[in-house]
Amino acid sequence: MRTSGARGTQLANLGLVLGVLAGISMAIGLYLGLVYAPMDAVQGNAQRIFYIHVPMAWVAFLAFFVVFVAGIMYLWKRELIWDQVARSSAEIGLVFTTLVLVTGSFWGRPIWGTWWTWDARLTTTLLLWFIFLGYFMIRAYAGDRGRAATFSAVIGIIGFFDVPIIYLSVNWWRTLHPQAVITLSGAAMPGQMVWALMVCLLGFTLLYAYLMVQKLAIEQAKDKLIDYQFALSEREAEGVTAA
Amino acid sequence: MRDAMGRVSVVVWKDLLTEVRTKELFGGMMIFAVLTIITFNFAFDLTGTGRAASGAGAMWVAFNFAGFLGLGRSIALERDRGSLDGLLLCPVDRGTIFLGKFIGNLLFITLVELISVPIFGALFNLDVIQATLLLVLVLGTVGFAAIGTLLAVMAASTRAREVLLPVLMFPILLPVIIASVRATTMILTHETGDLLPWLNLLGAYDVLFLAISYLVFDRVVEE
Amino acid sequence: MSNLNYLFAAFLITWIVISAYLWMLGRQVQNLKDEVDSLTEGSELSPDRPTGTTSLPDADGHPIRQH
Repeated sequence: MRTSGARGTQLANLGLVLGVLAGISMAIGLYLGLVYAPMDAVQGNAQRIFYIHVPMAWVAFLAFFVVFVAGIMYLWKRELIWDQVARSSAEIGLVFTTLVLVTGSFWGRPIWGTWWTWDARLTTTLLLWFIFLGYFMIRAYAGDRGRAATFSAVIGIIGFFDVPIIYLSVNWWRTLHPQAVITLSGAAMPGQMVWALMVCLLGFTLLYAYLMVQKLAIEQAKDKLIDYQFALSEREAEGVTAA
Repeated sequence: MRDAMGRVSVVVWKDLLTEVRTKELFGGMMIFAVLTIITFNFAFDLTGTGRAASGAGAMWVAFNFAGFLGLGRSIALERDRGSLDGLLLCPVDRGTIFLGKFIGNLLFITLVELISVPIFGALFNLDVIQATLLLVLVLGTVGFAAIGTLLAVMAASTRAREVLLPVLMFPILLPVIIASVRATTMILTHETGDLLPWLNLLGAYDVLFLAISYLVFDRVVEE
Repeated sequence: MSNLNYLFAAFLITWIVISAYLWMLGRQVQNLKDEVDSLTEGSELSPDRPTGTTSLPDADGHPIRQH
């Protein structure tokens, strides 16, 4: 009991440190992106959306990778902690994937003149979003905890292998459907822009770590509570039969 | 090795025999596939110049829908009779059971395809009797059945079986749908220059997901 | 070409969603605390209490359990 309490405090401290670091680096990153970095000559201010869009896309795929690794670990070791990690990461991943799609649209509208295009990156992100959604749907309908953990781990693993194939197939499909492909003219990005992007990447990665620590603690507490309630109801049922 | 093959074929035989006796699966899938293709004729113009491209799309959508129907039904039959539990109690490797169910599903869907493709060709005046098309059908259906067998077993033990299966399967299956439709279009228009990359994609997908499904099936049925 | 409104909209939505998510996490923590409180107060069988001190008949060794 004492050790788990000490670990809890350690985790809370870690969360606090990560939260403060994330806040500071994101504030610096946004200052760099919004003020320090020059306005893009071609894209105007809308280019600055990239300072949050790219880091969030990175976090979304990182979260997905964590779901994949934790899924394998769960199927292998059968330890609840891996499922707690996986489901925490999946939820954060879903939030960031949603934001990636939305901010991407807000960039595409002024630059491409359209909210959406069936480009390989966009389509893959959308499909990733749907796979995350399926991940939570099967959890919701699975019934009990072990089943939810196993089934969602399988979805996470299949999805992880599937995403690169989706990217490849959509890319080939596009080359066979010639359209006006608009690529970024960002080959020679000014140094200030690179700096702003790097700091934002760091900030959002720390934000992910912070959210993971928080969400993981919540999921662990939830599971513990379920165990207590189950034990309690069993003891009460025993009491009834005994009386 | 021969032993394992024998066990797999016993599971397949069981499914075929059940179907011959009950006739619950095949007829429904067959009619559904043909009706879907006919409906698409009125939704799109399948008689005009672009009929090979839209026809290939219509055909694969019809096969996928019929496949969902078949997968859901075949596992529901097992559940309702409690025969899946019996199957799992058999002293055989879980992977063997997976392969048996997979081959059974593959046979049903391929059979539906083989019968509806000529009907499709006749209805839309397309040249469908080609060896390469058979190859595309088999490669596309193997991927579908591999993922489908695994996900159908998972979906069947949840509360929302019928809804969950397509919701889970469509995003994961997208590469198969894209590749099969593209390859079929090329074959129907006799422009097979770029066919090989798509066949490779389908083959790689089949091998990868057949292996994953085989490996995790054991964990899934334990629940 | 300034496009400031698109930049503003994208940032606004992002911060609203992230704040909402943080708020949701806070709510989950609060709900958990409430539930733990109701569990320890509402029932005399506090989960922290060792099994030996419960007022209900003990599971092991009780005659009824032997049948």
